[in-house]
Amino acid sequence: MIKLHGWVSTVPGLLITLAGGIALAVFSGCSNLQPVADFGKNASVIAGNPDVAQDYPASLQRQKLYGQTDDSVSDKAIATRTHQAQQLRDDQKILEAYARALGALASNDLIDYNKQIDALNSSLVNAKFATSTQTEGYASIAKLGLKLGTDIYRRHKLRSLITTYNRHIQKATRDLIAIVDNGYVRVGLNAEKTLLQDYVAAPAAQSTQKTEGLPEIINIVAAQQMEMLDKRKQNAEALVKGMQAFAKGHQELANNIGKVDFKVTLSLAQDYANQLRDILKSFRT
Amino acid sequence: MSTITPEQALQLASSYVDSAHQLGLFRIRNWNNLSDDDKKVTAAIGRKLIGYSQSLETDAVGRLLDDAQASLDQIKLATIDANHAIQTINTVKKVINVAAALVTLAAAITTENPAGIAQAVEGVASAVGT
Repeated sequence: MIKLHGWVSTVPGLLITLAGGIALAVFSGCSNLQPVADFGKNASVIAGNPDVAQDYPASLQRQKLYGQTDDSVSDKAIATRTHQAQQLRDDQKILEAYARALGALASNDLIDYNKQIDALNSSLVNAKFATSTQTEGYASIAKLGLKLGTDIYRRHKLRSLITTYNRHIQKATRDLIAIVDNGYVRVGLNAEKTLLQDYVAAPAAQSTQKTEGLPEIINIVAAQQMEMLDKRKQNAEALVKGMQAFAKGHQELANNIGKVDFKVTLSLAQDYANQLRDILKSFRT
Repeated sequence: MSTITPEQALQLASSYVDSAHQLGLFRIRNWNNLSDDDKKVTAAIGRKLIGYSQSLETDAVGRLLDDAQASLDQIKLATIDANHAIQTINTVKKVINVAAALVTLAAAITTENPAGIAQAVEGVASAVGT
């Protein structure tokens, strides 16, 4: 900060100090968008989870191993699912990229001008165009001014993005949730589980009851396979919960941003960022 | 002829899976009372129900992916918009970097320092290029 000798060293010094104080007062009340950054960052990690897309065609391959022979597991059906899986993956990447960009725009790192201003500062001093005492004061003002200016710009952009594209976020997440929850989890994985348990493992164990040790071996193999399916189900459910939290959080931000105290908006973003962080932890590796 | 929605197709598929599961449980509970033929017929029915459920799922997922496309195209535009805003902010940093490099160049020229000028020119080029 600028060094004052006694009460006031110079008139420019006083002006700089005053301007700095005003800028600091305005800036300190409205600059931290980090909750929105965390919301976007956490949402992007969840949206990009590739497990469901990878397993969607693989589930049909496994059903062939369980003895299914009809059209639902034909090469054509598997090719269709492989194509759909790529589409699903691409769609997830679109959501992932949007959430990441939203987070990056809100990140406090983005408006950290310290490094640049300090470099300019030392260039001016090294070139003897100014003394370090002079540049320190101007640098402080520049840092605050730039932060304040870009903070206003960022808020405007965030508000515009969230409100303009909210309905598309809601529609896209609704469709993707239907695919993962109503499709992959409730139909795909349940069907596979039923097939494995009710039409492969249990009948095999019944049919081989008189063969010592064989029913137990069948149970062990089936249990391992069921564990794999349970893990897939848990991760798919985490993806669904994550997309639901992202959609709900985005909706709440769209409803509130610019209409209530910005602190309320940030508090909402923080709540959903925390929810998403907890959901992230529930993914099994 | 009216067609069912993807959501209805998935509900139907889910009910097929439930029916196959109930039939499977019935078979195991009555395993010793069912004839070999009964076992084969009930297994075939259960597996068919599962097969239908999978075909319905594949069909519904395809339609849901198509339905989502228009919104996802808009979200792509939103991402471009957000990244453009980030670039705009980063441009301010770049401008300051260029200014610092130009100051160094100006100082080198003022002091008629050839080695310093060459180095400072590189600094400007580097700042503009980043």
